[in-house]
Amino acid sequence: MEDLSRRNFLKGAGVAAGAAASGAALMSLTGCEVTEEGSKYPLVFPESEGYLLVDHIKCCGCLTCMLACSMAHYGVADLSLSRIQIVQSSFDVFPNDIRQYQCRQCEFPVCVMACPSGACHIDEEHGNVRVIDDELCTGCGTCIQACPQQPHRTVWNSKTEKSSKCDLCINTPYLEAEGGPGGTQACVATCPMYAIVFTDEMPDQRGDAGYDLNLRTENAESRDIVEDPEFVDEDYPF
Amino acid sequence: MANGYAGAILRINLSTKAATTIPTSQYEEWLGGAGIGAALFWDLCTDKACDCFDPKNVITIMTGPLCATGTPSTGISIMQGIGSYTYPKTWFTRSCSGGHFGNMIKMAGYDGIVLEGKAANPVWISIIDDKVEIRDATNDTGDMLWGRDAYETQERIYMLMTENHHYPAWLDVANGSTLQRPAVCCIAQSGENLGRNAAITSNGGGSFSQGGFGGVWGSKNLKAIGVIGTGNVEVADPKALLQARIDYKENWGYNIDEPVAGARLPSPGNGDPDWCKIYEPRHLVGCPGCMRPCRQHIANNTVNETHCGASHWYITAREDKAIYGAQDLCDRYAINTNDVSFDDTFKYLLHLYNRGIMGDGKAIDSGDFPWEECDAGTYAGAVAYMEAIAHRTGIGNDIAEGYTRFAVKHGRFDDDTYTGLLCSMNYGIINHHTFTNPTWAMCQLMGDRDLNETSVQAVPTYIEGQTIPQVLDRWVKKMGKYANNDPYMFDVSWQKPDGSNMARAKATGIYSESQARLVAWERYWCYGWMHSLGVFCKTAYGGGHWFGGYGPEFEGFTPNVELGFAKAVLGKDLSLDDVMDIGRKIFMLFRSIYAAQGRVRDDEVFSKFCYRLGDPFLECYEDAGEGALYAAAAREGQSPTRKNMAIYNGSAWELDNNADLFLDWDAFEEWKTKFYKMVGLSETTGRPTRATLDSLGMGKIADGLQAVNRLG
Repeated sequence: MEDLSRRNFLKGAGVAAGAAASGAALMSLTGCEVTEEGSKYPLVFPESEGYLLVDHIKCCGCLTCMLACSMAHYGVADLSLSRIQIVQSSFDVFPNDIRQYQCRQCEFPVCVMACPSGACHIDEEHGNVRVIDDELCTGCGTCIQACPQQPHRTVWNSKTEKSSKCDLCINTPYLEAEGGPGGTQACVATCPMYAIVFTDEMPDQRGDAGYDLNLRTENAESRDIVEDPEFVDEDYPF
Repeated sequence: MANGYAGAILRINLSTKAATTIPTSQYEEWLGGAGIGAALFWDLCTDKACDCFDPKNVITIMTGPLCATGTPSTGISIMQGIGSYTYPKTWFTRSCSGGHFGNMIKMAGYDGIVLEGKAANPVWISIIDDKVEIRDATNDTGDMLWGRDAYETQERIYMLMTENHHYPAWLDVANGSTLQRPAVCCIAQSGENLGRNAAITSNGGGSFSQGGFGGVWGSKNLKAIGVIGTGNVEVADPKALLQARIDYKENWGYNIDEPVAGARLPSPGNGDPDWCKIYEPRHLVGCPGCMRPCRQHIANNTVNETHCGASHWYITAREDKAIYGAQDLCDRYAINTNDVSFDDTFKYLLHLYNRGIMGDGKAIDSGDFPWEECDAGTYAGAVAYMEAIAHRTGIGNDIAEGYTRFAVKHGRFDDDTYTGLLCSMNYGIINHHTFTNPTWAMCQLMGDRDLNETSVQAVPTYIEGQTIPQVLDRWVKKMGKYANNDPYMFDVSWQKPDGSNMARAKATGIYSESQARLVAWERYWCYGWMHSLGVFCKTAYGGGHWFGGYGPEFEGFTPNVELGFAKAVLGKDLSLDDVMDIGRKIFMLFRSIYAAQGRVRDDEVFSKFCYRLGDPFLECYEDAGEGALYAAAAREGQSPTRKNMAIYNGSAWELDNNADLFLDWDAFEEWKTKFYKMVGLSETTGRPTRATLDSLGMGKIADGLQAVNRLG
């Protein structure tokens, strides 16, 4: 285990306390007792060395990231198997008409703690990414029930009847480049809107703001098309 | 072998409520999209000369093999069958739509859908993977869809297919789970009422608009199709495909964070706000696999994905609510803006009103219809206009027949297509940029619809920092390599009003063999490449894919990039020539269907105003009102469709404004003869000959034409 600094210990404990306050039933799935002061157990995990950040305002809902994700991992285009998900409706009101949902590589990985078979684990060889070992997964679905996010970021593979989750493209037989932290992620590499980025800095674990943020730059098209009502191109369209 | 195809085509007989499948492999020689759709029509439509509203009419909705694979700009599906729109005969035709429908069809396990027969009562079709249901759409005993607009219908089908599921929770269906909403395409009241300009809407602004298929669906009592697919699409070489997409972004993609100005391609989100010059916070919206999204969701929840011409149909509007709201109405009522408004038609009605020809108690009696509201550009005017067409009330009943039939009914067709006041080009198709671009017009005439299906019609004339001759030289070198190395293909020299320049127009210009070669090339390209291999998005392509819009020096990525994707998906080493050869077969299949419908050479003529002198548009533009976008352009002598035509003088390229362009009847008839001969059609009838069809391995088609005595 690495990176067991006091800072991370405290952060882990803090998250556990917060999670406990928001959902005791959920925490019971992990088998951990939680008190007002924090966990009875040292709920400390090495930080993942990689995270995906998105900008759901910039996202255009083209699903390219999802098609790329399933292609990289399974060699097929399959929206249901994608480990990053876009949810959209033409009839919902901006900005909730398009949302991106990616695995957060949680500091406090409930999916890992919940997994009874050890399939969902921290991959210490690949930057402590939270991953699921397909060989060990029994398909019990506990990790899916345990994921505190809505929608859950662990993904059910109905073809193999096992769980899967974002591994930052560590295990991608159909991705030419090397994946994982420091490598290539299929969704990042293909997104036409540059609405997904990789970072090795742990985002703020509270709420969504650390994971879904403004990735727009200051140039006119990126900034103004989505935000600024002042921009007018006087030369267009003739 | 995994090759991008889902492997089955869903065949639904609405009369018998039977749902079966056809193996796609039986039709793969036609690639996909338009090719397979036309081949299915040929095989399954037992009376190709039937009326569009006859239950014997067969409708196909097809995808291409690259659809739903992540190949850029292939999330398009194409609808075909006998449309209701063209005049005086309703030709077999095509209409494409973006949105999620094509992508979802493939995820459900189908390359397309065939619709036959007619339901006894209004129905809709629910497809959840391999579970297909034909459900009651009526309000008495069914799912209460009939009578609803396109947005209400889609949202209701969301609920019906998911049993009131609340997103963003995962939806479990029999074969899997998904976070995607159903993909729905549906008609609104306009289609239910058999409007000939009725469209089929998918999502907010995706639309099968051209061809009047909305009315055809209405005649079949088909309200909607909803699809949920949780399956997958297998490809030949997934690793190569994924790398191709990564390379594409790197080398050809449009980086919104570092936009490159100076070329002619539309920037992302080139829909309404840019054109209307009104900005609000919004999402850019792309179809599955998109590389350059064109649609938008705006914070005020109007202008929902409306795009391109549909975004500025209400030319008299001044206020935000009217500008935005009018755009939404088109999609909500599923009406083809190309007919009811595009460029010239709405102005035509305002002209009739302002000149006292139409109104309460006038020669064209429109009763109490509030034309003054339309003229003033109020939102109430837009609502009244669209509702009248959708519900076919009052004067709207006539407009719902299409502008051409409207003019015929009111005795104005001959006069108004002579003056050009009614810009009905050929087959009753409303002018787009058609006449002023001869290639555009000729391709449309030899086909069945507006040429905005493709992109080669648009010659690039602007790249920042380069002179026009430089740009055109580069264009011809790039295109010439693939298009017969004939620079005169792009020379649109025409005869001047005083009769001069006719020799050049015939030798190298619009009446030349070079022009015939370009039209043939474009037809094969359109039917084979754009509409069958892809089906590719015309908007994202926008012409710049060949040259002028993508990559270093705007060199363009076609054809090698698409062929790379095709190899990864299909596992075949296709060349451009291979696809063009298939395109020629598909073109000849379309021509065979037209022939079976009864088309002859004499049908292939333009309206009278195309053969006379002058710019008939200006009068209409003036009537559009102070400040209207096109009116302003017209007043400045810059009619937007009449400029920048490429002329090759034998040694160099130049541009010339063709405001004085018109066709010479005899010269154009001579050109038609050249074209028919060149592509293998009978010079006397314009129909495919036995020799041509046999040489293409289409003997079965020839036999079919011979059986109805319509072989060329």
